[in-house]
Amino acid sequence: MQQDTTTASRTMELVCPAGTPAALKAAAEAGAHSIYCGFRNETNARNFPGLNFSEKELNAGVKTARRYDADVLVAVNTFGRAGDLDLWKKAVDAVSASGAHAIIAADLAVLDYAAENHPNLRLHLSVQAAAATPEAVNFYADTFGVRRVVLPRVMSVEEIVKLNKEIDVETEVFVFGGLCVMTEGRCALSSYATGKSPNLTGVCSPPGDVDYNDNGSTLSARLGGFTIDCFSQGETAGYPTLCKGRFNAQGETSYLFEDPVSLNAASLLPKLQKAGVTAVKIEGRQRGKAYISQVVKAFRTAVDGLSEGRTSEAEVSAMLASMTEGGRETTGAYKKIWR
Amino acid sequence: MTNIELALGPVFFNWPNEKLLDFYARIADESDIERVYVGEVVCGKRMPFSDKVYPQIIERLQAAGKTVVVSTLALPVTVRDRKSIDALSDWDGLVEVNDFSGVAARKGQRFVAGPFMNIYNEGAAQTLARMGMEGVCPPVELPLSSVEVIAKALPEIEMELFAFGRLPLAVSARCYHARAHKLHKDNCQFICDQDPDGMDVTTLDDQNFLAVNGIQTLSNTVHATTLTQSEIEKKHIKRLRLSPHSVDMVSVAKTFRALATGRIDSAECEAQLTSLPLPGQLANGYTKGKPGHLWVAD
Amino acid sequence: MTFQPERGLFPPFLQQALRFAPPPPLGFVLTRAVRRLAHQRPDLFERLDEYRHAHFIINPVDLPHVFRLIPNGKHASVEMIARKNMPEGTARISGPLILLLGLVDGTYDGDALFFTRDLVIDGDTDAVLALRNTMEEADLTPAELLGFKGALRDHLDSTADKTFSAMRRYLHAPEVNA
Repeated sequence: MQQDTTTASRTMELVCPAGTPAALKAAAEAGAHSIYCGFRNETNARNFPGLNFSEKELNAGVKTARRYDADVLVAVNTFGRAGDLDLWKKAVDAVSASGAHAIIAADLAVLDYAAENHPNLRLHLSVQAAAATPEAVNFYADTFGVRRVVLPRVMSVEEIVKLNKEIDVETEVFVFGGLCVMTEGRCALSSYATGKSPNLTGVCSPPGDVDYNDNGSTLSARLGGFTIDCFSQGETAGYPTLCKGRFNAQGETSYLFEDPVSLNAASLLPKLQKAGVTAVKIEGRQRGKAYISQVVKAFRTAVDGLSEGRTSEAEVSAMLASMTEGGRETTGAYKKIWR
Repeated sequence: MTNIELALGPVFFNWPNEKLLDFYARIADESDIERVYVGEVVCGKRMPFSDKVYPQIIERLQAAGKTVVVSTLALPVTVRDRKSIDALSDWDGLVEVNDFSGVAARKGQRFVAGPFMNIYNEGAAQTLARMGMEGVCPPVELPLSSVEVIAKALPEIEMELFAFGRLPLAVSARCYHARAHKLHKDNCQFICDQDPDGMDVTTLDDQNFLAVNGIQTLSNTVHATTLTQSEIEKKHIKRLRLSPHSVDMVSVAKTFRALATGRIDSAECEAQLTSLPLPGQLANGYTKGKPGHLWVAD
Repeated sequence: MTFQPERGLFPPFLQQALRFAPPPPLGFVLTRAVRRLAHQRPDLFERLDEYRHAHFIINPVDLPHVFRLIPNGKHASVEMIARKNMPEGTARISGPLILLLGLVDGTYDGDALFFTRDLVIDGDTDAVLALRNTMEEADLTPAELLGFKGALRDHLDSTADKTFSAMRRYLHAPEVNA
């Protein structure tokens, strides 16, 4: 057991996303303790055009972050393409050379390569590995020396409490942003419709496969030719993320898998801290600087408040209100009722 | 090259015990499938029921000369789920692991990896081989070209291809059967037993799309890899996996046996399968690196 | 007057008036601006990757002209074209001018605008995404883009900022961060 995980006054580490060097700077300025990013290629799970970092930009980013006393964590968290693992190995080498604090990985090949060739590089297990049991977490810790595990967004707070009692590594959990309904890293819905998926190519419901069809009265949002949702005139048209679409089953139309909501577990921070969670993470490497800056400020206020033993819930919720305005939010699987 | 074998995957659906007993009795008596995977892989809540009949089923299959492999849960969550995996740690038969808890439980004893394990490349396969993995059925979305790379890089690993059935696409903490019936997962009334091949999910314009089976999401289409015998051999694939459905699986096995022994070609295989009352249309896109719902002619 | 501006659209009389604005000089100025940027920030064009060769049709629906942007580094070009001659592009972004301007200076989150249908994207969505993410990294103000420096730039930007924000209110454009 990590010795400091039991002291209530420890500050939870705030882990924030950056899709561009400008966003990294914005996150650092806003008070991120650490910032995660990825390379501009298939090695990371937010492989969108125009997003992410070159090696040179990462090196500069690590220096920028250092000026703000923040750490950089680099996600090399897709599954390597068979016969083409050099791209992933090169990414691991580049993370090590950049002076980044840690690498976030999911693929056994990547973990194995990092552990073998860069024993001093701190390893974090990506959420894409979906390790949710003590046995699985300890397996990664014992085999590769993983120091922290990012928990899949399928666990309740009670389960996190129990898990933390049975493992020796740090845990990190998502608290804000996009919400995967399916277990991360175990979902091929996107490739079924489009041929591209998080595990295969680092994208989910890719924009290039989206089309909108306006027939005058309704607008259909389609992904890979499948209608994911329909909107009447004037209704806000959501992005057709596959698992947040409207479908028919049992003779009824509904958001079968999940409503188009995003995760906001700000209200659960005290419980998560008590559960022994080391770090809380904000999703959204694809989001703009303005968004990142505001969300990071709000959560920094929240974790600082917690470590000082005061509640800043009202203040934080006001700060986040403009970020989720119009959009609905959920505490997801952290509360068991979600299931 | 040794003969291409056939395997029957684990039953994904919530079938009543009588149906399971009848189903496996026919497999034991009437099919020449070499290997049969048994056990609950989708939902731990179903285990107290089916666990009662699986010992009997295993015995029956073994008596008929089948290699029986016990499959583990894809998403263990509760203490009971975890115990079910741990209980297999000292089983001397073959175990199919579907989660890293299973790899840990085997403590170096041999195992095979199921399609819920993220083995996307030769590096991952190599790492697991060092831990006792002797066979793998890769994730369904993995293109055949990648399967071939892995198979050739690790000739000592038996490569099994998901060749027939609705594709297991995702698992979740949430039960969609319960949600669709406005029930809570903790009080689900085992409503998933109403859909022996999964609950059809269609789009708003009534296009067939997915199928729900408790916490699992499957394709609506029925995947079928109809490669010819020589193509299968060329890609170093040892075994074809057929995933159980309500359709006559003995007939399905006959068709694939004919394909794997070169008695019929891909077109004839497709025709024979289409003549069966399948739960969805045929698809094979994944094998060609295309969207999984497509049918791409050979 | 009973005219009620809608979601940031220029009022029709203004749209009419703009019909007579001479087209060529603006395209020329913008071309120079983008080429200057290519010189100062080559990283941005690396970020665009293959999409630097894309033809982006910027379609301010309340103006009589459209713009064709080819962001190909030092060979970049911006042309102003009458709407009736609107060319096919790799991708087209249509929306009220004030929203398109707000995208440049980061006033609006592109994601939010796409989802509310204030902006309509046709063609290659990936190209538009690459452009948007690059703009995000560029962090440009309008005066900066046009090559103004120092105090003059700051003055112009603050003026532009006030003008745009007044215009957004007047035109009932969506709230920032909507």
